[in-house]
Amino acid sequence: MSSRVRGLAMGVVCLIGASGAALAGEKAFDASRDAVVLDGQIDWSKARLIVVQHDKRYKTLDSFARESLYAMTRSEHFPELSPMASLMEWLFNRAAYADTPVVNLKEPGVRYHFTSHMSSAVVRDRIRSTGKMTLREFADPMIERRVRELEPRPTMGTAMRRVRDAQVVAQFFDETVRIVPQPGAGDEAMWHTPQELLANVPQEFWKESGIDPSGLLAGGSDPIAGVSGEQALSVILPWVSLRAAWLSHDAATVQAKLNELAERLPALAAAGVYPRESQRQAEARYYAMGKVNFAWLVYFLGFLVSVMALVTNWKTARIAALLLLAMALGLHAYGIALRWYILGRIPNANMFEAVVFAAWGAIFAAGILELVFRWNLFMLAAHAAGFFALIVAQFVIPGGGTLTSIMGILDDIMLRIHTVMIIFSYGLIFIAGVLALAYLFGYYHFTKPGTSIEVGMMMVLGGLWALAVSWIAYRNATPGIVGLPKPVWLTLAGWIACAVCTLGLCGWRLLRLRETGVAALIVAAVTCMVVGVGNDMFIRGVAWSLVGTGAIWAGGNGLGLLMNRRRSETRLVALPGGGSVRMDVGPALRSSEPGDGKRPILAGGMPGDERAMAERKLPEWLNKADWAHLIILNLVFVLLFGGVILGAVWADYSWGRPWGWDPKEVFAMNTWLIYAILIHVRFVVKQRGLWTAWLSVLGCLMMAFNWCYVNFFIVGMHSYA
Amino acid sequence: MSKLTAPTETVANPQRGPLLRLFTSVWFGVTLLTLILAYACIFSAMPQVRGALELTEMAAFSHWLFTALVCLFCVTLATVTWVRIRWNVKNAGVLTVHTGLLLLTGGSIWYFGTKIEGDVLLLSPRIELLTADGKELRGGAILAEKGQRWANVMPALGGRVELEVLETRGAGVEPVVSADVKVSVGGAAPETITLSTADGGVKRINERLNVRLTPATVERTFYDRFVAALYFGAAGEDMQQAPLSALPLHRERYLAGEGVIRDANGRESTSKRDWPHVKLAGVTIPTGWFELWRMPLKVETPGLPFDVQITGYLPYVRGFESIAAEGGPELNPAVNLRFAISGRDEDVVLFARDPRDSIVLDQSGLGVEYLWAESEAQKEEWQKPLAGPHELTIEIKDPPVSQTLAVEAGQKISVPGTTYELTIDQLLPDWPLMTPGFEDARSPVARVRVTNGEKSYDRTVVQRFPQLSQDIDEQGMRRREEPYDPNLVLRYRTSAAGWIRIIGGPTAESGQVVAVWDMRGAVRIHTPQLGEPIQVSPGLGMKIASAPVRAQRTAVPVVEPLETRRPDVERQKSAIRVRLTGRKEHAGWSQSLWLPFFSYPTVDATPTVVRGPEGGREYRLLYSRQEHALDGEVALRRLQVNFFPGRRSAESWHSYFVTAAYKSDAERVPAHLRRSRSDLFAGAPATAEVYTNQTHTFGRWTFFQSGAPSNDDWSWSALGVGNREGIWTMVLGCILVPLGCIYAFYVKPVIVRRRKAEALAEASRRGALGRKAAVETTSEDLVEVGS
Repeated sequence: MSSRVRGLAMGVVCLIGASGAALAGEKAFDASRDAVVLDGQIDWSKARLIVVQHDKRYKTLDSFARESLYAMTRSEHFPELSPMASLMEWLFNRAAYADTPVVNLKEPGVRYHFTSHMSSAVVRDRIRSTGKMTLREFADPMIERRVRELEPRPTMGTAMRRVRDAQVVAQFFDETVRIVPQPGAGDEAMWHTPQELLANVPQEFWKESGIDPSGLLAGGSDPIAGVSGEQALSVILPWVSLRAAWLSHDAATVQAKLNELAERLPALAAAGVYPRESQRQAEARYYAMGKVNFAWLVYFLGFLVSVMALVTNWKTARIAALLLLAMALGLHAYGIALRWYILGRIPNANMFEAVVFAAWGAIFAAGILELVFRWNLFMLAAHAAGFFALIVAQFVIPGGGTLTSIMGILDDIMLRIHTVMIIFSYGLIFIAGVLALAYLFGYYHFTKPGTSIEVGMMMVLGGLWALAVSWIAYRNATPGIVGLPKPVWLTLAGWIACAVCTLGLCGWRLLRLRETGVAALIVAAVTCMVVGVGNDMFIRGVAWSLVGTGAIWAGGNGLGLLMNRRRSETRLVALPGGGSVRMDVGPALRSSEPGDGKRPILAGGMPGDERAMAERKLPEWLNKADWAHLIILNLVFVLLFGGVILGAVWADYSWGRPWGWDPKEVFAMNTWLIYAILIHVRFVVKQRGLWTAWLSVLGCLMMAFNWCYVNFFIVGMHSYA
Repeated sequence: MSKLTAPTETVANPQRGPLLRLFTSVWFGVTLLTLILAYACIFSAMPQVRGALELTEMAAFSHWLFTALVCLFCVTLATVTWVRIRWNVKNAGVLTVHTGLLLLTGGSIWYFGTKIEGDVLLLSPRIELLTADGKELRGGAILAEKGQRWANVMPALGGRVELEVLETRGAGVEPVVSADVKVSVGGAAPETITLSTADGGVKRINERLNVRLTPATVERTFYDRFVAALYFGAAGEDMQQAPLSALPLHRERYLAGEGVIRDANGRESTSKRDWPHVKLAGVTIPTGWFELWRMPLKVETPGLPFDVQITGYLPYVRGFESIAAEGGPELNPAVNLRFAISGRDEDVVLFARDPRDSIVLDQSGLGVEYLWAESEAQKEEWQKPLAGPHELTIEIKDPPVSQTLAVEAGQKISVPGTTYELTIDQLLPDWPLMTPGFEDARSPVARVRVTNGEKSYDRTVVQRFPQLSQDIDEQGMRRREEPYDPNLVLRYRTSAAGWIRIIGGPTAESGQVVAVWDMRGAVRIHTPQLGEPIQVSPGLGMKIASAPVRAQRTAVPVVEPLETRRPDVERQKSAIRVRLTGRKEHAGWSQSLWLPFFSYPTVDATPTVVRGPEGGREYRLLYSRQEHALDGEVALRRLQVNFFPGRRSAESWHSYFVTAAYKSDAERVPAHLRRSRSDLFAGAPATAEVYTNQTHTFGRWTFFQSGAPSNDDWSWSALGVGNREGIWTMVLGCILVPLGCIYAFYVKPVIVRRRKAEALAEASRRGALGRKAAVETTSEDLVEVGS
């Protein structure tokens, strides 16, 4: 490849990488204007490490602020305010936000239910389009009525839990700020809010000081056992002063009182109860760094560079991709290590942790394999896996990786080994899936590039059609409402349209109808099924996936063709019967020898595809892709089986039953069965690499189905995961 | 083409028979694996399919079809392993994997074929505070364990009450049979008392307070998680159980013709199928060969004078409502009415001879009343119009005067030709009665002030039951036995808010007349057929659904609407309908009733009592879960709960209990007769514990922590119970498979490569001909890997 093309490609990579950083922020609420100035004058470094007992664990005030605000606003802070300043505003100055749209309703269906009683069309439309409600609107008794009506419906369960969480923050926030430890008690004992200590202050103090306690803060009526008057005062006085100083924007006093509380509160707790400062620092850093999920950007850059390294064999690109992989892996590991340290357990107990941890393990393994074999393939797959995993962790997984405690039943060494093995194998399955796609792309690119482009276009067309259906059917409908009539006529119309498109596109070369037509019909079947059963959001999700994947597939093939046309060695050859083109790529990339002897031991003892590929004059890197694939699949086969069995061992001594045909178990077994089929199919087919790749894609889809659909949509014993 | 590049050619072997060729075909094995995969995907990812076929996950994967696929795969695997793979060191990996898989699948068939799983509920021993009349004080209980304390301020019982358990003593499997308890009430000096189950366990503290030792429950059985059972028996006798293994689980399944089932919103909840079949293009295909459920389900009930069939199953029952159904022992006319009120349906049941249940009155005063006429004349009489919204009939015996007139509150009436002066004090639309025999019956009443010469009294005139009208004399004395003034008879009727009378009789064939009075007292008469709607007023319609004459009250389930059903309730919300039909001389006798589900037949379960066909004798029926015998006795000592910070939710549970194993021949004694049979025990009781991630094996059964209370941290614990036949076979298989894989993937290639190198070296020594032979041999070896 010429240096001009390389330079151009590198420029594109840099441009895409740089454009990711351009993000615009929102403007501050009117009610927050003074607080923005105050926020800039406060040093929160001590105050944010104050510990709150909340939601089954001890967390920093900073984490508490972020999580609470996220539950209500879907953002970790108010615009232009830090999370801590947002917390102070919400604690002490909430009345000022009565008409500020601070509540954010995620589900469109909930927006509809919560606004159907509203007389003002303007307000109704605003809430339905933005999801944002003011505090006053949210506190309307009608909302509570709606929640009570919808709560018993299982289909609304998750949405109503979110609304309840938002209600707690919006209406009962004071009662959740449990920052005062129970003096001398163990870590199970309930902590208190500063207001609850009001009744513990001796009446004489109020008389002597001349302060009227009833005007200060609303507090509990009964004194809390075990808290002396002196201890109560040591918290209440700075708290009351903090409130007054915050409302009067007295930065110096706010700073002094925050520091005072940060020093006094830990002193109240019994030894060993208050989390260590290093742990709190780590937690604050972890949240401040966005759980280090931004490493996806590095992986993405690395992926682009890896593609370049693979197709050009350019050493500089390879080194750059390796360095990026090391950098991303380091950041990724730092995030995991911080989380591990904060929680005091291996972070693999929920979806977020499993995805991040699995990805890291698999990427690390792929990195080692890349260093050993130097095929550029493991590196490519590793970057793709890291990018995908962290994107999912950042933007898709509900809760966004909030730190949580785990049920006692999950705190078991065997379970940990089981989950580590399973998720590690799942990570490797994803790597194998990427390798399989690379193989398929290469295989079809070098054997039937024209057909390959058409298949990509079919996917794009299918996606566009689904988007059109979504737009036509749902533009006037209430989104997300259960029970909407499905656009059956659109489904039928879609089938017909797809068939017409297929014939139209392929008619000019009827002999190619076999491959492209089949692909088109599969795409049509998938999109029609999605349109028939899914709601608008699901349809749009699948549609964009099809458009994106198809465009990349077709574009990649097209780009490959264009780039290789310029080469003197390249020529297009008509295939008998298929009408496709075959690219003779010349001696540089052509396999000169069957792969016997070069095949690594780790690829196992299964029949190879080297001779058959040499007969088809396919490039050497496809052979390597097949080997790389086998190396990963062998690992997966053993790890997945071992993981499943260790899970069964744990279940046996935990529940007295090793196997309960739970969907999660069954689909782990199904994934393994696909690989068992894959191994045996290699003994009886001619195009072994191709079959392996397709079955590997199927195995990857099965794993993804198990991880996503089974986790979120099927009730089972693994629902907690 | 060499064997290496065309391996399919090596598969077919003409010397093998067709069956052997089939079972040694890799493609056949792959096809079976694909079928197993497809079956697993469908039955695991599509709960709707399992629901339609009434299969649990366990049942779907223990189904004969799945078992047959797995067995077929095992046969193929074994045949391939025996016939096609050479038994040598090189192939040790694949041989090990295949052996492991055979052991694993064989073990799992054994395991799931014999699997029983359920739970046992164990109640902790406790010290409870009781009122003087033996009622438990809410929250006044603690675990009977040394050191446990309880205190609360209870002004009604004398102030602050404190309890402390000083010592406990157990006997046999029972952890506590006596306890020393320190009790203090109202700041008085503490008193130490000893409570013992031998003397009933109750001691009096003072005139308002008792304290009781309730021992832990000793369990000898547990209850199946999936299989329901019908418990039955004559009243006063032990109940037997009949397992209902072919009962549906997920969907409404009931035979038509025994009433309509509705959900809480009034929508009909239909049974889509009442026997296993599918309809394709109008052709009915029975699917009982695949689906395991049956309807009607015949139940074996030895000892009962009637046959029992399950004719209906409802998985989601919100509650029961009472209706009138034919089948009572005597004349008891009733009507089941359905009102349509502004588009909403409401069912009402009226019994003509029950003062309380013969009328419904709404808040406005509109009454709907069911009357049973003894004669046609009486029927006619009850249909007359009123003189106005309120009508008063005045009859004076001496001199004889009779007058009917429209009245209103405050009106004064002078009866012509007499000295009677009447003043209408109040006209009350809804008055509750308390007269014995008429408790909670309601009626409009008129309060009339009567003056007749020297007599001046108040009379309450009851519209529906004139005989209950009462006088209050000048001294304020209520004259219950007889009227203060028997010379005056007053009768009151009203339709000020409208009034509806449904009048039946004098015979069952006479049909019902519906008389509707408007607010002015005018009447419209309807003679509807059963089910025929009548428009009573704008926005109010009604129809008589049924009118049994020898009626009895029957509970009818109201099902949970579809949108509020939760998928994980198993049988907890279910109910079954049983049809009882008399045997032999009672062949004509039949009764149908719904039975609600109870998780445990011995805890808070209320059997349904039916009167048998022979008359008089009562029988009990209860719908619960199948009972299995344990291999000994189990009693809970205590439950320990570990909490998350803040003690708002539990993190884990830990149950401490006592077990006493039976001798092996104890099975000859029925489980319910084993209590206090010390001769049955194999040894001394032992303490045991289960907790999160820790099971305990007791005889054939494994205990695990299954459930615990949500509102306290001590009162009970539910232990899961299950057997695990074939587990070690599976374990052996599970160890062999990965070992074999590692060998096949990573050791064998080394061996093959080394041998190939040796062969090539040898060939180079022999010359070209020898080289070709060596390479062919090595290639053949490669093809055989794992085939």
